[in-house]
Amino acid sequence: MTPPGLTLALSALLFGLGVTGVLVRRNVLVVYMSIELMLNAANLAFIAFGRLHGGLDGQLFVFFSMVVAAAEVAVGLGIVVAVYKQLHSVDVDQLNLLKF
Amino acid sequence: MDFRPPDMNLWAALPTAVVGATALVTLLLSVLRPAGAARRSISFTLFGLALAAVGCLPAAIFRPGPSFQGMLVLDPAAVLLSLLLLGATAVCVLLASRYLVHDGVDAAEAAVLLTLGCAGMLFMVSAGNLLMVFIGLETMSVALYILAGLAGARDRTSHEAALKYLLLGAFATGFLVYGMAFVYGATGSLDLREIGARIAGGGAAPGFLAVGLALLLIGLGFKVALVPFHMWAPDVYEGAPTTVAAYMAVGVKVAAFMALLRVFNVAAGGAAASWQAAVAWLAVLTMLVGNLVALAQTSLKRLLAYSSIAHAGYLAVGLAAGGAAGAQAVLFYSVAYGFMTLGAFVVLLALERADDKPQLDDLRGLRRRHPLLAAALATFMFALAGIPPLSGFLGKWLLISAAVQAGQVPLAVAAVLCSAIAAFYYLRIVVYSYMREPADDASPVTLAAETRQALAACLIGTLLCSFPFGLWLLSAAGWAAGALR
Repeated sequence: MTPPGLTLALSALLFGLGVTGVLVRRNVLVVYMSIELMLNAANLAFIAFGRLHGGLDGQLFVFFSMVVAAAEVAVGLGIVVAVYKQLHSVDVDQLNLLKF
Repeated sequence: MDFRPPDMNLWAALPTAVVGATALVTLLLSVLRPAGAARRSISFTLFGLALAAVGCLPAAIFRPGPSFQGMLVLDPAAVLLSLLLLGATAVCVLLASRYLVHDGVDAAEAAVLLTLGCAGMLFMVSAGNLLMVFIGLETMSVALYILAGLAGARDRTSHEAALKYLLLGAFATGFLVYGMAFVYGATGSLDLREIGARIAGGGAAPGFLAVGLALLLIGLGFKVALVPFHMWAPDVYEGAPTTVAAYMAVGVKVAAFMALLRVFNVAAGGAAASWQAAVAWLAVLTMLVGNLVALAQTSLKRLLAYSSIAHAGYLAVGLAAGGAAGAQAVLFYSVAYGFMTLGAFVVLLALERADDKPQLDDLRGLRRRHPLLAAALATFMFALAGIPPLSGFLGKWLLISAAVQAGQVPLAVAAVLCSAIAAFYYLRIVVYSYMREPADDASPVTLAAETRQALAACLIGTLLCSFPFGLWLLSAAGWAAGALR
């Protein structure tokens, strides 16, 4: 049995990695992967807290969160493909038509 | 072991169910019978939205309050904002049938996505549980990611807007879900009333709760474009088709602010000390940055984007003020803001030419080119600027007096100063359309039937929120705010 505190620490680490990835990496697909890492960190936190409280709510939330993340990826990859067809690149820095 | 049958109050789910069913049936019909699908899906969608608006009533009359184990709360505030959101969606569907179709978008597709987004928004305004907030937000957002990119075949910026919205929206979702996890960790419940009870009873871990609320504020702050989480808004509004930008500016903001109100003012009201100051600072920053940057804009779409950011700041003043007065102000201002912003976007659509985003100069001499449109634009601008007796004035007055009542005088002063700055750029639009001579090559403006209907709806809505009719809405909002729990 892993203590909830350890699981929570791991989830915080994953979340931090995800946020750093989104801010640092320039490839859209890697940015998207980092976002998924953030969502999974949240899922892990939900499970850790669920065990702490002994309820099912946390685990229930994780199921919904996974389904929603899958739906988001389906739409997101569609948009990435559409952008790639136009720009022939998936680099965030190439998205510069809209500026202040 | 005793067994309680689940609380299936189907009346409460009726509006959302009707909206969802409308979207699915429209989708199926347009695939099965493609001939004449465009016109049919628009009228069927409008019929479905009207039906859903009527469907709000039985729940409000027979079984108000929480149902489905507290998942769904169709209280008066939810009904009020559901009606607004259904109306805004109907206006956007009307506009889409004209303008998005012009951009080469399938009418049925646009109607289905707008309706599905509306279903998510309805979930958000009547959410009684963090899970519902999350599902509603995502249903709405996923539909909007697609909508933002719909005009990509004609306009390169549309795809770019969609990708930016998707990446930053999903990034915000990460913060939101992580925040929900910490709120759950602190209180042991996802139910908003239960969370409120645990916080009031002192059974919540303050550290986890503060982290969770901060992350939730970031996540929802992205969606309503509070500074400093607003960077995406001007780009996305400019790149997305104008109809969709209008839908985002009104629908997303109203729905997400209701979620903020439920989570912060109602559920976490007992822990106000941990978030009130942060929200107040965000409000001041948002009003300041939104209004100051709007001063420098010449593109009308960008100007409206910054104006909508500034208005998120005003709404956040009500959130920071808290209590029943703050909730009343947020509810009233959401409705008033919805009509006036939607109206401003409709005028923008009427002025839009192919491959050309309307600039301030395109407004020159609008009074001669189309007197009615100029008058409507002036009404919306005066309302947005908060000139009495229009809706914006009543709303700002409520917000500021709520802040003063809550003892947040500096916040009230900031709101007054920022609305003075805002008056400059709103009135400049009126000056351009009334006092500048039209350019020699200015084309006459003609309004399509759909535009006229949409404009009339927004104008009537704005006038109904203005003095003296607005006083009814004001007391309705007060009653709804009192029933929030």
